[in-house]
Amino acid sequence: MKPHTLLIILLLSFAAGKLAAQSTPITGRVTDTRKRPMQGVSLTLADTYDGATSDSSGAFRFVTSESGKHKLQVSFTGFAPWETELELKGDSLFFDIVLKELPNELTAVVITAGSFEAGDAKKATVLKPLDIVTTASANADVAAAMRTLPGTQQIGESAELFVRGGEGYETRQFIDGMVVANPFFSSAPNIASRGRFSPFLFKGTVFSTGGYSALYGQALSSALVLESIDLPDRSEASASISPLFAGGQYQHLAKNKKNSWGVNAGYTNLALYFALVPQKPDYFRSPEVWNADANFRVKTSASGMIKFFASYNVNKLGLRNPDIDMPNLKNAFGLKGGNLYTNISYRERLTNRLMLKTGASFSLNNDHIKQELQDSADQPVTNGIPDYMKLKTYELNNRSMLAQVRAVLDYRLGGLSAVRFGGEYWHSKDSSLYNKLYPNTLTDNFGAVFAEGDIYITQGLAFRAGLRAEYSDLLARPNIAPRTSLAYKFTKKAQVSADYGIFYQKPISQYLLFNQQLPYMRADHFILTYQRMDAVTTFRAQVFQKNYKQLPRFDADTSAGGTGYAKGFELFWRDKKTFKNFDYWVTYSWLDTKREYLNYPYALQPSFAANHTANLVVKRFFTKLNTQFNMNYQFATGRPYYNIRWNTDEQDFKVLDQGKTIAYNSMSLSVNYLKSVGKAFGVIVFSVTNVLNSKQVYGYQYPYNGGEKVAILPPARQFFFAGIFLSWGTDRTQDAINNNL
Amino acid sequence: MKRIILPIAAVIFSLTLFAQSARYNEAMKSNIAKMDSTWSKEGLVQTANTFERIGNAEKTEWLPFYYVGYCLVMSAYMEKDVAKVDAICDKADENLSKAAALKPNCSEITTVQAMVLTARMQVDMSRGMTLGPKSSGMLQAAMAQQPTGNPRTMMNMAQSLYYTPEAFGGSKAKAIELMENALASYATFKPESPLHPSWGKAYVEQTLGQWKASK
Repeated sequence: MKPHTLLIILLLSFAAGKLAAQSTPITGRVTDTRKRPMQGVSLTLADTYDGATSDSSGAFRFVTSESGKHKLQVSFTGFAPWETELELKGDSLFFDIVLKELPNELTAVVITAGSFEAGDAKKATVLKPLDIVTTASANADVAAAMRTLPGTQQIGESAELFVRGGEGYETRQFIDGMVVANPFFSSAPNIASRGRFSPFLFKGTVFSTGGYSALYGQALSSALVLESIDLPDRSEASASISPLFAGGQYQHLAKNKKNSWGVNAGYTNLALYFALVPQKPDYFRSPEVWNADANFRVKTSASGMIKFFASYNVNKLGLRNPDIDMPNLKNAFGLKGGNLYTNISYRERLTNRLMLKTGASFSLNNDHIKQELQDSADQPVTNGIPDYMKLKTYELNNRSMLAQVRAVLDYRLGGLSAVRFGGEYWHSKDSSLYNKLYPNTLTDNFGAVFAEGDIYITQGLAFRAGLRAEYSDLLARPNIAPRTSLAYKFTKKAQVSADYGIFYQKPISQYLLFNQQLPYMRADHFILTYQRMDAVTTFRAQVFQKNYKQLPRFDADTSAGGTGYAKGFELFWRDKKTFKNFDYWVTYSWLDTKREYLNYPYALQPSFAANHTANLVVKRFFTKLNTQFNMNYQFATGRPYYNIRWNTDEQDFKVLDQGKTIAYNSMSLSVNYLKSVGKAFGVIVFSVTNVLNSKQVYGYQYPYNGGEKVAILPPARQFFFAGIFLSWGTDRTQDAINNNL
Repeated sequence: MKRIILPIAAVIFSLTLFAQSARYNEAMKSNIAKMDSTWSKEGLVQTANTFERIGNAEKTEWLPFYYVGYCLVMSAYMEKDVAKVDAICDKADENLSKAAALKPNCSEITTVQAMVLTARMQVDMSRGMTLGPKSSGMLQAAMAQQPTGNPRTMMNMAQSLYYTPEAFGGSKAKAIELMENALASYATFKPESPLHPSWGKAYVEQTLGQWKASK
């Protein structure tokens, strides 16, 4: 045979083989568990080209010439894969296929629906990281931005967050899981400062106004959980310039994109600003801050990351106010503060299911306060005044140190269910030195262990059960705090959830210094949440009840028998759709709270609690102008104030006078204008708080011997800001474009 | 006998191979034609599924996985329900990674990976802050991977330049210029085979017309 004859024969037999092959039609229908047809589902005869895609009625059909045993594989994004063995013999086959939806964070019920989250993770969140810096009243302060959310009070005289009838210290901040001892700059009494940490350090923020996870403790009311950023996208130098401050930053990303380091330094001085905008107190030393921070981050593996952050800052201020008891004299307050903060964290996925998150943090805060009674010539007054006036001249050194370590293991059970367990240990030392004579030190070794499980019974029904056990060396007692949540999603967008938990917190050191027998303060939270959320709108309604126990009291016996309650409801509505290019949210909070603690002789509404609070936040970006306009309006009804004095005859505190302040109104505006400046990308920011110049009264103080009360007012009604933020990225985009032109 | 059997075996073997690759070429060609004539989201999902079957059966060819990614990213652009976009993009990325594992440093694959990032931005414009620079970084990488010029990379870069606000480094004039260069490079660009990526020319012509008209 000639080779080409052989070839022909072979080809013929090959073709004949093909022709002779049987063909089997495979048909069927794909539905989901609710019997709804599924379109776009891929059906494949494994390892062959044969297959089909289901149509809008869920039906599919294809014909295969394969024979014998095969596998039919069915797949659709978000659904569990389905497969079956089949034998192809030429007889048509029919399959009725039901696909089951996989647990999916996007569609599953949210256990923590009660909290406010800002992150650019894939799941839908109520806030975006940018919201924090584009909230007009906040001036890029994380806590101030949270004050536009329901559950928080409008407290102008403090930077702290007062949540649902709780004191400012009942809200704790956590960075990468670790508590922050001094999140705000130290300040003068009744003058709000700012947070120490820039919002740009964080990629995720979770603000829980109650009922939060057993992973966090020592916060009676609320937790602000911040997660620091991982590697930056690129190397970048940036600068900020304003009449108030100047700063520079450099962030370097290694070429292999596996590690980065950065440094930042800044200086703030309000002298120029105070010269332009008169302040009510007489500032003999205008507020000044020196700050520096440094960081490095290393990607240790595909899922491992080490992050280190350290900051150091020094702040100074000094101001005089007329003395409340003798208005011809002045009270001079001077402060020098220094704060060191360090945080190192490490996370790694140990196995497919097991994740380790661990970290350590050390912080040291020093405040030196000098308080002096002065005459009209600003000279110290020590003679010819009553004894109680002599107490107004003193020096105080406060020093607080906190070292902590923490580890959490997160084990995925399958689907979205997971268990977490871990522990932490805090070593703290708070000392205060009065007039350089009376040292007082509180040292505590505090440990906690916690465990928590998130169990998804179905996509729409889940619960969380957690337990936290703590022991404080100083208080010499343990506590056990159970926390639980139940969440049920009844439509694609709407869900309800219920949270219950017990929360403990050590009394703050200024009370513990007087009485070290105090137990933990305790709050029990009960919360019901309804949430309806889609991509462009969010509606949330919450009702809550909070019961306080074991609060410190200043009675004759200085006991811990203080009690209290807070109840209320809150509404939140955010809408990005109804008005084109317009993004706004509205909140309303109603609060009913009373407590019998400190020097309150009976249950009173605390002076930091208003009954009604409302916020309107509006944002709009004008693409053509490269400008974003932000406005917000904050309203709160008046807060109570009291004149409470010790009555020696009755051996009890007496309320001599009481009242309510005028309502709080503040409208703020800010404009962010984006512009390239030379090779830099620039953001020019203007902002004004209290545009309408509304009068704001934060409360009243009473002279020691009766007499007219004196209003606590802000140092100035309005705050103006102008600044420019520039960044130079080592971005080669323009070069790449020019190379192709 | 040996002398005959060996050549016969060799012939049969090469014939099977030939048949195999003919089948692959055939299937790819017809599905690419289908893809080029499809203008619906559903149609793109269907062609993506077919490419995926081919890719999974062949295992060593990068083109089917590349086309799965391309079809899916195009369907993501058409998806009106933004809640579904991320899942589609995840699947596109998964397939593009498979393609990139088979064919590393490929400008075509990197370009589509950049398109996936752009598609994700439509879920939430505030993602532009982080995804925008990432996407343009990938396009730069794609350009470096093909120094002779890839019209699809240029087209995508022109697009992002056109829609980026000037303050962020965008420029409509430069975008038009770049788009014209993309169009010009379609004339010189020769795909390695009829199966290799060659899409986009009609779109560039159309877009360029619109941009010039609105100038």
